[in-house]
This record gives sequence, C-alpha cells and structure tokens, in this order.
Amino acid sequence: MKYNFILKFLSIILLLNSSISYALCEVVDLDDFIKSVHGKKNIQLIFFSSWCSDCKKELLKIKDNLNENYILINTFDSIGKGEIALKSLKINHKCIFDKDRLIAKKYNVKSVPKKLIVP
Amino acid sequence: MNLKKISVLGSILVTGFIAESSFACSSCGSSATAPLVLNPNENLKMYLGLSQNFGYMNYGGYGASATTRTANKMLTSRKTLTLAVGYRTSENSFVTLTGSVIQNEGPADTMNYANGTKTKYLLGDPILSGRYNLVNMGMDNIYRPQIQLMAGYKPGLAKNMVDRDGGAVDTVGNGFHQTNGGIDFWWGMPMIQFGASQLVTYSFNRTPGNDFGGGINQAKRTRDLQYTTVLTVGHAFTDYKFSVQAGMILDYIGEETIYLENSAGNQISKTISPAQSNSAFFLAKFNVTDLDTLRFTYTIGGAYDGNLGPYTNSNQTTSNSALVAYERTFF
Repeated sequence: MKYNFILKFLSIILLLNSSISYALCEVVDLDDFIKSVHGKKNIQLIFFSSWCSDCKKELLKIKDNLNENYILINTFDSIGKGEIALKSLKINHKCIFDKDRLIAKKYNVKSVPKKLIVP
Repeated sequence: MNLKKISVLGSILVTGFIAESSFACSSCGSSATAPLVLNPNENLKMYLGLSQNFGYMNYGGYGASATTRTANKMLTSRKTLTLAVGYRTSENSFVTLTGSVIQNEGPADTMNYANGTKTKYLLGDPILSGRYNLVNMGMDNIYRPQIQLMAGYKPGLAKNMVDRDGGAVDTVGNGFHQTNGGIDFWWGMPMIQFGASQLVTYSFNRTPGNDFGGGINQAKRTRDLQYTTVLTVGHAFTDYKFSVQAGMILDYIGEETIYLENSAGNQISKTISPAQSNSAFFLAKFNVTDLDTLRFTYTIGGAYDGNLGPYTNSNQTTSNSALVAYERTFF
C-alpha cells in the first residue's frame, strides 16, 4: 500500500516533468532569420554559448523577463548544447542555433554573452 | 526592398550592445606554458609577448651536488620577443605557430668575468602545436571540465650546445627535435577555477658528428622523456574583465647520453643525470576589449627550494621571468 503510493507519486512527478517542454534551438537559414526579425520592434537578440560562465549569469538575469521580443541565439557552440544549457537553467524560450556562426558574423558578434537590440 | 537591402539595414539598425567578455579560457590548465590558446569563439588570434629572464641559477653546477644552488655567471639576462598565431581548424580544434627572437646577455669572456659583457641576438626554435577539445565545459554542469588533447612539434633549429654553436650567451635551444603530447583539464566555470595538465615530450636522437674537443667526435646524443605538469588555480572578476591565476610547473627532464668516439674508433658514453625544475607563476589577464587582451606573468624559477623528494630542483639552470603580452583576436 505504502509502496503503491510512492510509485503513484513518482509517476505524477515524471508526468509533470515530461509535460514541461524546453526550447529546442532551431536551425534556421540566415535569410529566413533576418526576414523573421525584420519589421518587428525592439527585438532583443541574446547571443550565448553553453561553455560560457558569463552567459549563465546573463541568462539568469533576464530569465523572468523573457517575452516575445527576446530571441536567444546559441552561437560558437555545437548543435544540441544550447538546449541542454537552457534546460539546466529551466528556460523555455524561443532559441535559434547559429549554424556556422553566420548570425554572429552578420551582427558582428565576436564574443558572448552579447545583447543586441534591433529597433 | 530586396533581401540584401533588408540585411544591410538590419546591421545598421543594431543600436545597442553589452560588451561583456567571456572567460572560457581555452585552456588555462596550461596557459602558463602555452603562449596562445583559442577560446571557442575565436578563429584567428595573434599573440605578441615580451619577456625578460633574470636571476639565473644552476643546480648541480661543477663540483656541487645535484641539488645545490649556485649563481650562474654564464648568462645574466635574456629578453624574448615571442610572436604566435593561432588558427581554428574545426569547431573543436586549432593550431598555433610560435616564433621568437632572443637577446642574450652575459660575460664577454667566461674565463675572466671582469672583461665586460656581450650581447647576442638569436632566433628561437619555432613551435607548431595543436589542440583538440575532447569535452567542453557547460553551464548544465559547472564541474565538468574542458578536456583538451595537446600535441606539438619543435625542430631543433636554434643555436644550441649540442651542435657546439658556442657558450650560454651564444645559444638558446636545447638542440633536440622534439614532439610532445598531453592532456589538459580546465574547470573554468566554478568561482574558483582549477586547471591541471600533463605533457610528455619525446626527443629525437641526434647525430651531430662534431668535434667535442680534443679531437673526440660527438657521434650521437639522446635524451629520455620529459614530463611537464602544470597545476593552476584562478578566479575571474568578470565585472572588471579581469582574471588572475597562480600555479606551479613541475618539469622533469630525462637522462641525456652523449656517445663519443676517438680517432682510433673507440666509443665511450657520458651521461647527464635527469633534471627537475620547479616554477611558481602568477598571471593576470585584462580583457581590454572583446578582441584585445593584456597579459602579465611573473615566474619564479627554482621554486620550492629544499628537499621535496623526487621533486627537488636538480641538475638544471633556472631563472625568474617577467612577461607582458598582448593578444588580438581578428575574427
């Protein structure tokens, strides 16, 4: 009886955890990315890497204020690392994986963390 | 408006940014010995360093025991200008090429130190090295270290004593073509950073075939493996774009054997005992901009003097050094 209760409790916890989906850092074409940003007001691009300790601080700082104006860009990194990092910080927000560092190049981003405001 | 115009406009319209530098430090586990390492966001980087060595001491000088320290009067100062370039070859690997120009100062006459000093300009051995990131640090687990594999090659091109190019002032290299390999661990994410690296150096046998003095031919010269251990602790003051590190370098150089041959064809061999050299270093780095870094290093040679068992300084020439370096990331 006691064990059944524990098993049920654990199952609920598991179900709850699986229902929380974390951001998948999407790979997008540079032109598509520029198009998606164009025309929108006050878009904030947050460039981060999973290996960067300052990025963790920066992401935690903005975590509670994230809204549709923020786009997280995982750059200078391997594919999949950004998602693991965001999951560890319990951040579920729109994220783009910067394949071949093209977005960083486009916006002249040389180091992370970096926040750019696109008016 | 076409896409090109949109993208140009997008770039122009980028108005604000927070210029915070990352302190990945790839890899500081051995930054005290490696002149240039590339962070994951860096593709091409240059290093320009100026250092001065002074306070030369001998362990195991003529007539003294292997661990007794005496002043080295053969060389009083060495200034080194080091230029290195690093290039990223893949997401997880990079290569560096290092060259140096050296100015040695010492007595003009080693038989009579009162006869003034002489200065000699020399080229150091070039060093080609590479690193591969086996494991990267990550904010999901700040205690997972960055693990890098290291490899390098140094041809023995500089003036050296194996080739009998002259005395201490006239030479700079160790005379051996060398290759090395190792592993570097760097815990750069916790508040107190820690690094540990181990390098093993293999020296290729030399066959100088030169006159060793008195008509004796130096037929062959060999050196056993060299083991270099670097331990580092550090802290990054990220708000000030400043980081400090301190640590130790433990260097063990294997036995050297000189094979000599007289005119009658008789062979004898001489051995130079293994050597141990310990150094302590202090390093400060200041990220002037996202792309520019200033680095200051002070190294105390012959550190932890006294009996440290197998790690006691022995059979080596040590010196202190002060270094100022500028690093520039191009992209």
